[in-house]
Amino acid sequence: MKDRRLTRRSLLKAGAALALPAIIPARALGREDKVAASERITLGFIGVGGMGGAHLGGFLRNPRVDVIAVCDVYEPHLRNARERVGERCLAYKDFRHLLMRRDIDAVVISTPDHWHTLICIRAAEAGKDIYCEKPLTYSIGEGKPLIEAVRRYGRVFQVGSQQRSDRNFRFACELVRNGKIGKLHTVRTGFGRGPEGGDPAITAPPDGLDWDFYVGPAPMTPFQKGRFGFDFRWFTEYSGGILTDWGAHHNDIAQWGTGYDRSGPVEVEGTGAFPATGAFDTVQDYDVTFTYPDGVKLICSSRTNGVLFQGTRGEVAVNRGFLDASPKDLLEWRPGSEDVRLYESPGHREDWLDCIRSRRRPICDVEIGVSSVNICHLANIAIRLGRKLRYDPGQMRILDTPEAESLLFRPYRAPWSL
Amino acid sequence: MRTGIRTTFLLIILWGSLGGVHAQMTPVDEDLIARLKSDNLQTRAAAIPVAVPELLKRVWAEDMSWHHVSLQVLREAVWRATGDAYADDRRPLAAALVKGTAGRSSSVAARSEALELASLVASSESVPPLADLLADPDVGESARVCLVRIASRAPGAAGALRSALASASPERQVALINGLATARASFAEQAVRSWLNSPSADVRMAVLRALGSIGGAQSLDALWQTAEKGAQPERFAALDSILRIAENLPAEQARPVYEKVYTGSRGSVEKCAGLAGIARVRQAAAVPLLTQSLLAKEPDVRGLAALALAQMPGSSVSIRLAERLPVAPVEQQVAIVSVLARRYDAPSALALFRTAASERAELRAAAYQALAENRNASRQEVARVLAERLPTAQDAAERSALLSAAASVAHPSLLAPLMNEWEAGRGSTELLRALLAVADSCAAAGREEDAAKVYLLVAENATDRSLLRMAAASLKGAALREEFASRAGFVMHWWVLGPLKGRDKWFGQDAFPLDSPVDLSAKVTVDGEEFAWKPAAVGDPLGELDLSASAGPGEDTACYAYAEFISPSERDAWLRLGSDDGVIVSLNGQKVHEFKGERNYALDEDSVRVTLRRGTNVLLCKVLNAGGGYSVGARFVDLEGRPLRLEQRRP
Repeated sequence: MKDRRLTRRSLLKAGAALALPAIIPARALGREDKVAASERITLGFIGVGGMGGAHLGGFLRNPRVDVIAVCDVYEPHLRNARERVGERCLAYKDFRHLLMRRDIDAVVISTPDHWHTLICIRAAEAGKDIYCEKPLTYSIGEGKPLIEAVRRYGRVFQVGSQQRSDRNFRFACELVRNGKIGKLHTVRTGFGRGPEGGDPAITAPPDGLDWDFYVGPAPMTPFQKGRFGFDFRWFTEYSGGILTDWGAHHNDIAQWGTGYDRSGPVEVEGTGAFPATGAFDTVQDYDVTFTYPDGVKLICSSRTNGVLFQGTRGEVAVNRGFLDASPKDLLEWRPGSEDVRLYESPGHREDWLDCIRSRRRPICDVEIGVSSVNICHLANIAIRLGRKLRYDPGQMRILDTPEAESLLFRPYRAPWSL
Repeated sequence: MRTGIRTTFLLIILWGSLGGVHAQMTPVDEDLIARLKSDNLQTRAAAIPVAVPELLKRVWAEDMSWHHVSLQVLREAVWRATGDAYADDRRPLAAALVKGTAGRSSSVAARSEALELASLVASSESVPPLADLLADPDVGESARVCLVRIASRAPGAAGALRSALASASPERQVALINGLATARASFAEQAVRSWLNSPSADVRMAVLRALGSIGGAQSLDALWQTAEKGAQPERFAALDSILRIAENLPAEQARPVYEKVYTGSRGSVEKCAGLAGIARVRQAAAVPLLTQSLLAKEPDVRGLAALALAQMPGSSVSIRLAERLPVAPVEQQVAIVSVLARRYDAPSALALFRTAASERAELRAAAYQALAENRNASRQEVARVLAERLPTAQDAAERSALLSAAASVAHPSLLAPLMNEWEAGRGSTELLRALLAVADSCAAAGREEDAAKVYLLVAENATDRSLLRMAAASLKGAALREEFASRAGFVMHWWVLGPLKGRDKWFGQDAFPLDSPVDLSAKVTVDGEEFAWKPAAVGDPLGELDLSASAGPGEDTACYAYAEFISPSERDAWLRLGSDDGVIVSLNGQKVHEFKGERNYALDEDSVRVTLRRGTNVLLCKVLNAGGGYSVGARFVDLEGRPLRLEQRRP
């Protein structure tokens, strides 16, 4: 295979996303292949395009679940998903109709980002357990209502930041948590530059797309090609761009290693640059520094790719398919019986299914997902405002001017509301 | 002051101080832009009323050439004004943006964009013009969003929303009610509630949801009516609002609300919500109900009760659970033990140690797991208990629980008792897993030799490849890695020939006949180039032979790897194989397997059932490399998956 032997240098220089980490199938863990129908978890899928389609494939191969409903506002995606599942699967355009079904135990939500919170809250109310793609929220202001709803109804919630279920990332964080690199002082993260481009021409939405429903709670704008499909994430109406799209992975790991993964920094400042041409308008270059209560700095920059923890006695670098440390013998360290051991997931989807059965909290619970994406939102806000901001992670508030606070939440377009 | 717009394209640098440095061409006057970002307040104040409408004309214009740059200039001016240093810009910016919206000189989308920006800097002064815009068919919705966003700092903004309610269409009423809820305008509670009997289902739904944000105790009766008699989805909405109101009530007022939700529940989700609320407001007093709920028929109710009990602060909760433990029915005992596992305090640990000595095997099994999970219980003491019980485990379930707990605790003191189990002939994958975890702890404690013995034991006996992988990852030293691979039955000694250029052509042809014995001393000529067989030894613990190192680097090539070994008898076996990338495999001259795609090397990726003949057997792998590194690895295991350590021919 090409490029399989990565070096730390290549990690820090690489700009592209690497392959998804392998998910350990239940079969490999010695579980039964056959699960009685009454024991299977019934799933509904909301959003069956890109990531939703990938999740659908993964769960269709899983003997522990039955997919019985799919939902999408784009007719071709919906038709394709239903064909993949089979006749027993019902198709919906409106997620509210899917949520009304009492025979659905849990839902997998893979819509564009601006829909995540609203659908998750309605799903929690309807008593569904939830797997929601990252980045979990569109804005900081959505975090608290989402956590409250999930807790209110006692739902099992997994956020799709699947790096947590990868052994390398866990090992790197365990090294840090156990002081093996000495006293942690800096974490460096990055995920390359955000893209520029996107055809600015205003056109008609594609046939089969309910554009008004797709826009949903976001501000209505004229249609441009990139607004629908993978590129939605480069438009501020629907997403926080590269900072939330990839920050929800690498910054999540950074906070896991620091132990602030249910909390956050107290200060943030940064600079950035936006695309000069094309339709995309989310940040392209970024250089943001977060300061945590114990003085640890998290420096997130578009010049690097991966996560690098730096301590007084060593460093550990981790990325997908890559792990390195200095001194090298850190890589041979194994936690002893008295050491801190982090949650070991059997695979991100499997962990969620296990937790639906055990009713425990999965490896990337809602509170963690909110905290991880909040710092990505903060980075975007700090870049826009161009000044140092103080932040209260407990209250999820910016301690600045009321005008800056306005950026914490964008009111939903009618008729949608939280 | 120059107000004209040049038609020539001028170079501007946008807001370098904000870090958003772009060189861009725009028809907007360079001087006007410069003044908009001037450090001088008066200069900016004069520029804003001129620059904002000019820029807005270019946002979402028919010609989109200047949309991007114009919008970015406006955004950065507004973002900067949200800070104290440029606070004086807010009024002129807000005024210009709102005025630009009313003027209809820009597209609808541009006017909406202007209101989005105004929502960051507008104050009370902007409320009247924004209120006027509420009825605008094009930008009324954007005006509403703007008023909602400024409501916390602009007195009168939420009032404008309330005032517009009475004369609005049902569709706009929904929007206004949603806005009042988002703005947390509790003063509008009564006005909003009065629309609960609206003929429009959408309006009723909006009211039900809004009351959760702005309602108080006085709205509960109205909400209960829908929650008790209404149909879905109004019922969900009413119930959710009741619960949200209760979250903001004093505990004594909230308690009856939660109890009513719990007792009147029609499904598990409502029961969960009631129970969570009761746990929150009653704390330790809720322990009996929560303990009883551990036996609920609905799994999510049981799970919620367990979680609430596990997270409830105070060691008195652990003491109460411990007291309940001996007198509870056995299913409840198991559930309580599982809760105590997650209460990391001394009383819970003590209760778990007591339970580990219970007369009931299923209870003991639960206690072992719980002790392993409870970090307050001394690891050494837990290990001592597990070691004591291992030889006397009553049944397979208890033994399994002991081994699972031992793997979690992984205390070095468990090594001897676990090895005793192995030597007593009670070996299993679970035991190997526990041994492996303990070996890692031994290594961490400096007992490398003890650990190495276990790793080799795993290599010899593991039938589960995940165990092999874990053990291999822990090995230190080249000699141990080779020994590990050898004990796991990997082919250790190969002869390689290659790399032969042109991967694709080797899919269907060979460099020498496969149906006659291979002469390892003979040279093979391919396309005029002469190749010789070279010996190559495996150093990787998982049997991977790096062909880049042994045959030489070779993108888009093929390479042969040959091995000979002796089987003492004819027997059926599994050939386990991995390759990077493709591979075509022959055993004793017969093709037995092929993979023609691209992949990384992975342990035992392919499994092929084969028959080994008595005496010498020949394995020939043709590895087909698309690019980068390439490799192969193989071993034979018996039909149960145990490694066959066959004598191999060495160079």
